[in-house]
Amino acid sequence: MKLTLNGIMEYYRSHFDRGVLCFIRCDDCSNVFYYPRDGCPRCGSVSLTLCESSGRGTVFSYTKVHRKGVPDAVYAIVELDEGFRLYTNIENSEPSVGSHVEVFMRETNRGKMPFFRMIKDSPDPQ
Amino acid sequence: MHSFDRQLISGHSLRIHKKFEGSAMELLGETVRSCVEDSGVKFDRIDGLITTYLPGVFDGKTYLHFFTNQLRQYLGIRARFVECLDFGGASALSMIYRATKAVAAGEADNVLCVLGGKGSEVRSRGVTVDGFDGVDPGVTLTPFDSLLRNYVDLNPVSDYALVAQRHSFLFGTEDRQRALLAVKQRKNALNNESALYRDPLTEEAVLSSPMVCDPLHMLEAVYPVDGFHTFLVSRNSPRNMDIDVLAYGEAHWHELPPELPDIVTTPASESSKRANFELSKVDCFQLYDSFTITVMLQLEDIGLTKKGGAGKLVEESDFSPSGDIPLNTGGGSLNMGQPAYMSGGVILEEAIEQLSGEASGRQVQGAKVAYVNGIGGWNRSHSVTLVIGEPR
Ligand SMILES: [Zn+2]
Repeated sequence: MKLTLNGIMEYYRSHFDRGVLCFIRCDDCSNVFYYPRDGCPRCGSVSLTLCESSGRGTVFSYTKVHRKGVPDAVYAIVELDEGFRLYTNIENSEPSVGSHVEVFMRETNRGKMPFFRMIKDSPDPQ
Repeated sequence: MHSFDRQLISGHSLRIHKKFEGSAMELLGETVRSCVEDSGVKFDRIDGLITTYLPGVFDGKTYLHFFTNQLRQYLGIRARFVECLDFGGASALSMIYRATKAVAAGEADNVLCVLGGKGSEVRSRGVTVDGFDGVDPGVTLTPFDSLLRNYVDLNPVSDYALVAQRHSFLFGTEDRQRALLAVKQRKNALNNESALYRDPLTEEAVLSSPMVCDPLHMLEAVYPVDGFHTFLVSRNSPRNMDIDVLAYGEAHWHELPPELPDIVTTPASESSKRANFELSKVDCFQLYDSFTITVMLQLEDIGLTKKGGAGKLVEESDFSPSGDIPLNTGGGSLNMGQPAYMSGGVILEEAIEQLSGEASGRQVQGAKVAYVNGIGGWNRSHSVTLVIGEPR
């Protein structure tokens, strides 16, 4: 059955509540993506499958944001082991590109949302 | 010498203030009147309008209902051709192309191209234009805001910072190479009377300016200002400049940056291919400079060097008007300021001044061809390549 945007968001929310990150896989072209659409942005197929992510990945790029009146925060793109990427914040860290990170959920004004932290015993990147 | 039936730029003007106390409409009116006067075209002969706007830049208003209507009502333009583009920094270049097409097709005789507004109105609300949803929750930035807008960012700075960081990781690009680009553009600004920043600048000063989003420093970023650029494209106006569109290309990407194969390549790689213009025939380059890294990405994407080669190119090249690669010859938006968070007008204006011999103090001798590239949109989704010069 074709996914609806509401259905996707319901799936995401219920998984976030259980601490699980999710993504979408296209059955036709194998594209994996995080930002929810009811059609594949690569091939247009509506044959899509909702999937659970391991929540583990690496830092694709990062920047420490210095803003007036707000504590410094690391804004980043993280690449999950399943191949999709998303924007996020990485907690209290001095990451490098390639650093290993894992997801955790934090309560925000939009409900539980995925944030990331460094995996402490991971090997140094490169 | 003007050949019969040519669609060319007949007038241009700009007004830039660090902070303009009056209304955006007032500043717009002043800029338009100056442009029309420059062109020699009678005001009531203007029958076309192309424009653009971003939230907040018209006196803080989020949205102007029927925007082109409001502009025409204020200015007094009875039109038969009207368009509104929203490519951010790339809009100005598309306006010129579309205006020449409209005039050539007989849709209008004199098309006014207008862009700008008041950056100060957004700044005073403590946000950037890419964070305007913080002022008005009725604004969305992407179709995915419910999964995006819960994080601390400072876009567009943080977005370009991610690119600069990754560029350094992949290619070893150094902070001092980006700083050197800022220094070289400032050198060009020293000879530009309209530049906002005209004090000599050193690499050390750039690198010791406050870090906004690492690795990007404050002096690597444009400063949003109040101002407008207007250009008039006319059929057979007596003052038509000998400036024609020689090549053109657009690229509008749909991926969010995390969804791209990599973030170090911009749509300029595609728009420049579409324009397909021989770079050795170019006399000056005006490349969009929201940040130092933005220019470096375009140096690679339009083909002046290979991907990853920009740091070295910046070190080895003379970007001055008499140099081997005259680049952002008026100092660019980094030194002119960025009117209303989109400075495609700054680079286009400089190209026109160079081609018409008006670039006093910084003239590229015998400049006949200017290569202009604009980048805009949320997280770099649009690029427009426009090559203008002596009609062939
Ligand atoms: Zn697909």
